[in-house]
Amino acid sequence: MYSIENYNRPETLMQAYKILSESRSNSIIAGGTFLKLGRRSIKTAVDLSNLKLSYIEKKGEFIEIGAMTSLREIETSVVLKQYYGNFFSDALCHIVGVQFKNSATAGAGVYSRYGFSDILTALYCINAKVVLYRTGEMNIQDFLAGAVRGDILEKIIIPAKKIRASYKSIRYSYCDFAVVNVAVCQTDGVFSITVGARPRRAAKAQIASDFITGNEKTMDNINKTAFMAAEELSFGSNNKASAEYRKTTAQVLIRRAIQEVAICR
Amino acid sequence: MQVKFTVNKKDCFCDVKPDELLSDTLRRLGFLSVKTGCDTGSCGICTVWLEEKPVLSCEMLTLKVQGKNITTIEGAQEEANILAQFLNAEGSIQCGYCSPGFLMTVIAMKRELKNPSEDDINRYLSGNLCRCTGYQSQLRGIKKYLELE
Repeated sequence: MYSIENYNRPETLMQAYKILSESRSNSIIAGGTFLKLGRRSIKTAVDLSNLKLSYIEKKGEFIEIGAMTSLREIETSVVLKQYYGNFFSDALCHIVGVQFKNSATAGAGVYSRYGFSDILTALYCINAKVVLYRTGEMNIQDFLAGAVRGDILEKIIIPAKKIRASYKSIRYSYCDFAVVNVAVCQTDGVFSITVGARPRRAAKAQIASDFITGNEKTMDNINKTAFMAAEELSFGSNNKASAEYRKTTAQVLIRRAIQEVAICR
Repeated sequence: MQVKFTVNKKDCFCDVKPDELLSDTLRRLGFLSVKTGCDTGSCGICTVWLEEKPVLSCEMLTLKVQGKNITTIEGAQEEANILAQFLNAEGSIQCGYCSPGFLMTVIAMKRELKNPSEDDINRYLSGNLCRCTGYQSQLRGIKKYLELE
């Protein structure tokens, strides 16, 4: 369990950022669900609950998801289902339970860049953008690769397009962390393949994605793409699974996800 | 720090530490149905409603519920008694430790889902663990409660 010396609930993002910047020991508090598992000593907790950052709204060609939107709201969103089918609900249905997801937020799942994160793999696959208070708007790919620290995630932006997408994962029990997770989507004929819980955070198999985009969607090519993706990405071992297991399983999940996107949906 | 919220439609004023958890505060206020099981957010025993939505009180800072409405099973007794009868009829309450959290989640599910399938029920209740029953007796009782059988 973490400890907090002071607690603050600012009314504006500017106030929140000012407090956050005052000390490296200050921290944003969202749902606090994963924070609870650690023993962090927080000098001042900055609660974003008053900033009206809980929303899922279509704005023109994009859908904006506020950072404090709960994972449950995303899982059950009619707007997201309209454009993405079961993609988000498939990505989030395994996360602990309804009560947990009513507290856990999208912003925390993205900003914390957890390796096990299901939502990160899904958002990376569909080329989401993030909007940070200080840094501004950036691609999620650049955000994951960069070293943004001490900033506040305000919202996530995804395309408002009917996108064929598939999310697959393997885990030892229904609501356990994923051993490995996979997302595949096709937008305007362009494929995107991401793999997370490697156990490192989500990464894109760009070469494999380009291959299947530029070739016929035959079973041979799908199999080849899955193999290429598994070879392209790096996998590691931990107490959940070996690197070899993750790589082999990821290949199977990628093949199934591509089949769904290319053929059935 | 001072915090004001309602519990079961009654105002509560508390002095709490910044890192005090809602489960501890509620028990301190006498709502002993709220228990801590795993302390990691996995078991669902500490489930209460925050603005009618089920949440884990062992994960929630008390200060986060400033101005909000909390419901424990003490405040949902009428509906909980009805549900409990269905569960009792199937022999699905043994030690009873998981029951308050379980009942709160099932009642919330009834309000949220219309005509859920067995898979929908299992998915919704995946955050509530029971060491005693194996879940089948509970599932039978819940289906009858939801008038699905």
